Amino acid sequence: MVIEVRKPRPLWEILFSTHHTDVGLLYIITSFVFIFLGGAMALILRAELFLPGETLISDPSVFNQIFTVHGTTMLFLWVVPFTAGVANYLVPIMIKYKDMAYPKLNSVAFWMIPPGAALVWLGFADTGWTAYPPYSILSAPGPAADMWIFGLKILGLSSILGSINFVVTILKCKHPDIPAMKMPLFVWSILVISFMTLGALPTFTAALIMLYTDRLGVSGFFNPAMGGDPIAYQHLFWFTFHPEVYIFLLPAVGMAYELVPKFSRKPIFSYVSGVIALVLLMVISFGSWAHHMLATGMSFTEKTVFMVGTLAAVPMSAMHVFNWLATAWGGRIRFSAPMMFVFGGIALFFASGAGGVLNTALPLDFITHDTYWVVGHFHLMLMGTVTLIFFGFTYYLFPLITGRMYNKMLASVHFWMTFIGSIMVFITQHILGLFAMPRRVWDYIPTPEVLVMNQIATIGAFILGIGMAVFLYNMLKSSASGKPAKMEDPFEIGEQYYDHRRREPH
Amino acid sequence: MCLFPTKFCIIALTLLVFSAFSPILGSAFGQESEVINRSVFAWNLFYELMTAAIVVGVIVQGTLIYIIFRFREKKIKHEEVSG
Amino acid sequence: MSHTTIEWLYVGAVVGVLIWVGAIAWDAERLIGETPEDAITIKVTAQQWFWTFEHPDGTKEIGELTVKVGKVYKFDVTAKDVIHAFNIPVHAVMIDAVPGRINHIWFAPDQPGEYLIQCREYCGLLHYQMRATLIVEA
Repeated sequence: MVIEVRKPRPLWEILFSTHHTDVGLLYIITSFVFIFLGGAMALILRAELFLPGETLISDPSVFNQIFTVHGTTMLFLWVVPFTAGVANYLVPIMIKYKDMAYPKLNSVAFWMIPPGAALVWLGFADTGWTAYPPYSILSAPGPAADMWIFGLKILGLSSILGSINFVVTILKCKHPDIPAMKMPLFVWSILVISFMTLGALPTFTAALIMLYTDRLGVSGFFNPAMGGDPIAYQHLFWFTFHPEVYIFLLPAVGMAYELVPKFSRKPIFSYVSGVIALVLLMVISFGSWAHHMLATGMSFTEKTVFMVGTLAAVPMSAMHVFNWLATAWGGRIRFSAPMMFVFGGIALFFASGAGGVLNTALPLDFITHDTYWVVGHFHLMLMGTVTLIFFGFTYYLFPLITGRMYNKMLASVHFWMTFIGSIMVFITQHILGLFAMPRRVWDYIPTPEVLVMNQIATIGAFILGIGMAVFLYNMLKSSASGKPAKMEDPFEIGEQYYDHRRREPH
Repeated sequence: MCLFPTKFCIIALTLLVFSAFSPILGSAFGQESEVINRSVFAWNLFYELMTAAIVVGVIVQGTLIYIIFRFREKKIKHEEVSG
Repeated sequence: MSHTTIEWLYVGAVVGVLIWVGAIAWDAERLIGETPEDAITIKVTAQQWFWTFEHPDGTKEIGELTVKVGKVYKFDVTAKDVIHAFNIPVHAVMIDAVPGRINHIWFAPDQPGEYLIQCREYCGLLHYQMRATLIVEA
């Protein structure tokens, strides 16, 4: 039975279960705990920047710790676990298998997240989520940075184990009636990101060990005083984390492919081009990592290569947008909460994508690199697109998980506050970047424009925060006492909903 | 039925691309010796790309908004009833 | 038109726009990236959390840099402890200061006045106020 909440079971039964829906539920709940924690951190940061000078946080190093933990949390404890959770729920259902290929491994992968998270949160490092050496090996204080390193190691391992499981499940346990080119695009996106994780993460895993031995002083890979090169770390880091950017994005793409055709009541415009775009992106995303490092003193040739590599990834993303719009064109679209979030996400996806193209145009790097423009750009992607679509999909899965319906009015309030809040914060941050406000600063020079825009951004952040409070209330209230959902077609769109009559968890 | 013949589209696109490139080809093979003002240069590029981004953005977001208004369920139902 | 034709046209248009973007960006970078030959070299050293500038005649300035209008300057940027980034926002000068490496960037001031120099790469506690003044004399 997939419906979890309507027929309550003792907590330990869910905690110690290895059934894919139970592990999926744990993943999803964990990820929501951390988006609220990380969001609270973000609100503290924005409140500090509302006025120049010392306002809320008296110590700049606390500010530095907060943005480090905020970044790490949102990336590795919100986006990645949520993806894993939804994939756990849906991949076995979509490929018609009884469970994941390795149920125990699945459970192990989940249970590595709490210790990893605990290390990150109890350490509270101040290295920035990128932890560039030499700062992270020479200046970052005490056990905090070491705990961060081990926390990320554990989270990375969890991610690798999860990916292995998904690859095997999708490739080996697929029902013979479903050929590869008939799998839902969501399954394709999970397959693609699993391969990308397996290809990309080892570099960062190695870099973390090197970083740790450097911190111990027994090696000098990244320590210039011992003949090392700090730029080498950046290469290793971004070779993992540029593909990782797409690992964050592609599940949202897959979810949009799941929702747009259903709520438009039309088949996907072009399934094949969706698959091709996903697979091509998997390959091309490995060819653009150094565009994060254009200011580190690379030669003109290197810069050109990575600009071309970056631009080469754009047509694939553009293909997805085209596919969604062409699918919706001529349909009969029902704007329930999931569809509202997806359309909001597509609108902001274009904005962040265009910002990305501008980022990679070489001389503009002098203007935008390491300013608030970059902060606005990747937040618009991760919050404006990925998180918006994730919220939409949460609403879509809500009947499957709880057997109840969410409050529709509160859901649209949540959408509008999130959408408007995102625009207010992140578009404003783009402009702040053009006024050369560096990122990761505790204080800024209060010229009138910069001051006003910081205040707009802070107000936007609090609108987002209130929207999230509405969301939390809606989720808790509706899962306890919402209207029972009509399980065959809870959104009344005339489409088959997921199979909710799965066998009991073992 | 085809509003724009494919060949026409391809030729028009090619022409468009070449017309966009001609100033660059001119400057790439020309000679300049004067010291340039790097910030003016970078910002010019920024405004040029911003203009392009806004033009494309208007097309994309315009399509999106049109889809939302034209193909939403209520509007279609209304049409079916009145037509 | 079939779905495939529409897709190819769309991809063609996107690729065309991207090639145009890449070409104008490449061209601009080519022109900006080349240091003019008669440039005066200034050594820039970043440290937590201040800037040191050394002129060719050996004079050192801390926290401010004095240059003259109409001359071309080349910066040799490096750092002593951790990575910083040397940034003059008004002149679109931006390059990382990496310990153990010397990075180059140039600019030609055209207006007298006082401008901001700041650090743009996170470098620890006082990163937010790691600033200096660029004084351009007529």
